[in-house]
Amino acid sequence: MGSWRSRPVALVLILLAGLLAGILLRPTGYLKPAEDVVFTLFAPLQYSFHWVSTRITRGIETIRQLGTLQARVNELQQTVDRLMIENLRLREAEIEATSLREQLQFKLANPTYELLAAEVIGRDPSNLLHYILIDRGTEDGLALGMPVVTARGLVGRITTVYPHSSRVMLLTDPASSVNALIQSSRATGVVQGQGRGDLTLRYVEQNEQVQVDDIVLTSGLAGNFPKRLVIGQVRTVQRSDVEMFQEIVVQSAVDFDRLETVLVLQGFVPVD
Amino acid sequence: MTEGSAINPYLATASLLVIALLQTSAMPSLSWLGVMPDLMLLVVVSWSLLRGTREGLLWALGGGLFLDLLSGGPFGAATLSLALSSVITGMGEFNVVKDSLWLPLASSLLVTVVYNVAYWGILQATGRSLHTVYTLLRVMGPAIMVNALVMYPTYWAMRWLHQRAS
Repeated sequence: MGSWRSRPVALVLILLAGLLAGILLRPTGYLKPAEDVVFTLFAPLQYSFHWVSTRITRGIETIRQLGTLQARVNELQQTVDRLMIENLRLREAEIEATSLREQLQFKLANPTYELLAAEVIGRDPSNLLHYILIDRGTEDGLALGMPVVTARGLVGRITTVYPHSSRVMLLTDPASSVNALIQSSRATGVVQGQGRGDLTLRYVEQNEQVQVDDIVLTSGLAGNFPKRLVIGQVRTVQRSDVEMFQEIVVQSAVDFDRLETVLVLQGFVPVD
Repeated sequence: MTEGSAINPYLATASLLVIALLQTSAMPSLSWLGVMPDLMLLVVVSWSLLRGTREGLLWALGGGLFLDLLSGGPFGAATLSLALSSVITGMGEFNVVKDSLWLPLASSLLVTVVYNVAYWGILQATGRSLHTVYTLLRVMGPAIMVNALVMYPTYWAMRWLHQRAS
């Protein structure tokens, strides 16, 4: 038998016959088993070739882009930096907006108060004392004894006033005391700072009905604070037969460690 | 410790003023459990360890006055508490191994207790009734921790200043 090379006509005829068979058989489905065998055998090879060719193409592409790659990295880094700064700025703006919204709601709910917003610019250098420094003073119309609040409740009162700043004694300071009343029972007492986060309501007689979660407000007695400012909520009540008064712990809704902006009740003139 | 040549008084005053302002403005952001590091105390103690009791006491008096000006508490409370802390650091200086790596840490622990107890005593004496045990533990416990953490950076910064001044 001669080689295929010596019989090109026969080879062409066989291929043409195959082509014709394919054209005729594929629509009828008779070619499917043969196709399955071919694809089963060739699929792994096809995958390997595709994998290699893709890597080569990417490699060539990378080499081509190598000149511009560093510039692209720098450009993307700049974009990331810009977006990070923008993200931080937006987060700050969101916090500020929330704070301003709360202040606005407080102002709308208390239209009779003349309020002045102030930024907290410093704290007392001692951990045992609870004072803050705000960026408003006599030049802004502030005076000694003016109450300071946030939308969450009473913060304290101004104890020293300078031309452009003021010192505020927080409710938590041990020297702070505010005449208060329980909203539901109208029982009166004095809220004192303890040098820690919570406050103590003293001088409430044993026969007064005080429940946990009762709201504690300023009573306005003694004229140091206006009436009905929220101080906090009753957290615990201790009654004792041998004591004249109840021992009541009050939790303020104000986070005294994270004060950033406060409101000064300018219209209120304390009686000293 | 050997005492070097005295530091320029203007530089010392400016440094103490900056430290006092940092104490009231930047330190609250490093608070842990509501307690901030006593930067001025750590600076005074570091200076006492590096330059001796005399200079340490001078810094305690100068720094204390700035703190008292910025504080709402009784005037002199910070100055006296810092001075006492400085003197006690100076006394301990002769009894511990000099140049020990642990010396700043041990000093910060000791003076945090001394400073807070002294300050608390002055507040009590001036009519501010603090909830004794709770307040001391609530303030002193976290203060010991935060001061220990801030002590080494402070000590290294003061050592740099000490070497520049010598």
